[in-house]
Amino acid sequence: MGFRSPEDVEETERAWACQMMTYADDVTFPSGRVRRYHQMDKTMNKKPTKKPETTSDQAFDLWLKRGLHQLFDDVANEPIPEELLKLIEDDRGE
Amino acid sequence: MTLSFHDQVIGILPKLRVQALALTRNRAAAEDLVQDAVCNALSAQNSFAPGTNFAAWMHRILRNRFISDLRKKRDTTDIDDMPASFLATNAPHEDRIVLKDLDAALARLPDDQREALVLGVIEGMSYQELADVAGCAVGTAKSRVFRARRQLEIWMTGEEHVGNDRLKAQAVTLRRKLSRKEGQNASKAI
Repeated sequence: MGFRSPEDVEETERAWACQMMTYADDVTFPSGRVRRYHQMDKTMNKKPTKKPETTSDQAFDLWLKRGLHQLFDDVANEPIPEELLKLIEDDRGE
Repeated sequence: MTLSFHDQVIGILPKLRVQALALTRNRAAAEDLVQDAVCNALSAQNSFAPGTNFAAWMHRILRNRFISDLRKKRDTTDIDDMPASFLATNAPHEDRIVLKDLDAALARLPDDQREALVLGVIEGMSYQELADVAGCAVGTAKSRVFRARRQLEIWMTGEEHVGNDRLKAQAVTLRRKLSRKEGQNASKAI
C-alpha cells in the first residue's frame, strides 16, 4: 500500500463510516480509530445550514457595506436645515 | 414616554435623507424630496393612526412623492453628488476612484433595488420593514436586495462567469454520477 496523506485517510474513514453507521452503534475504522455513535448522532442531528457563503461573497459584502456607508453616512449626519425644522415647529404650534 | 407626531418627524429626518438620496442620486433633489415629503406628512397627519408603524408610514410618503415627481425630474446623477467630505479627505486615490465607480453602479440600478439595498444596509431595515415601506411582498423585498447586490458584484468585480462556472461544474458532476450509475446497471444486467 502506497503513501496516503492524512486527507486520504480522513476521506476513506468518512466513506467507511457512511457504510457502517446503518448497522452499528459505534464504528471502528480500519485504522483502529473508533467513532462513538453519540458523536455521529450529534453530527447527523445538526440542523441543515444554509448554503455557506464563500470568502469572496463575505469580502464583497463587507466592501459593499463600507462603500455604502462612505456614500450615505455623510448625508445622514449633516445638520437638519433650519427652515425644515422651522416648518415642523410652526406646524406643531398650530 | 411617547413621542409626539412632530418629534417623530424630526427623529426620522436622517433616515428620510438616506432614502431620498438613494432614490434621487442627487443631494439637492434629495433635500427637496425630504422637505416635500415632510409637508405631505404634516398635512396628512390626521390619517396616521398612533401606535402603528410611523417609520413605514413616513418612508412610504417619501417614496410616493418621489414616484409622483419622477416624470418631471431629469436624470441628474453626476460627480457632484459624491460626498464632499470624502472627496476632500486623505482617502487614497484608488479608493476614491472605486467609490466613484460604486456610486455610478448604484445609479445604474433600478430605483426600487437601490432603495431596498441602501435602506437594508445603511438603516438595517429588515425585509419585512422594506416590504412595508415599498408596499410589496416580503419575497419581493428580498429579491430586490439580492438582485441589487448580485448586479453590483458583477459590475464591480466582473465576475459574471462565477455562477456559470458553478453550474458547469455541477453539470459535470451530475453527468459523472449518471454514467457511473449506468455502468453499474449494465454490469448488474450482465
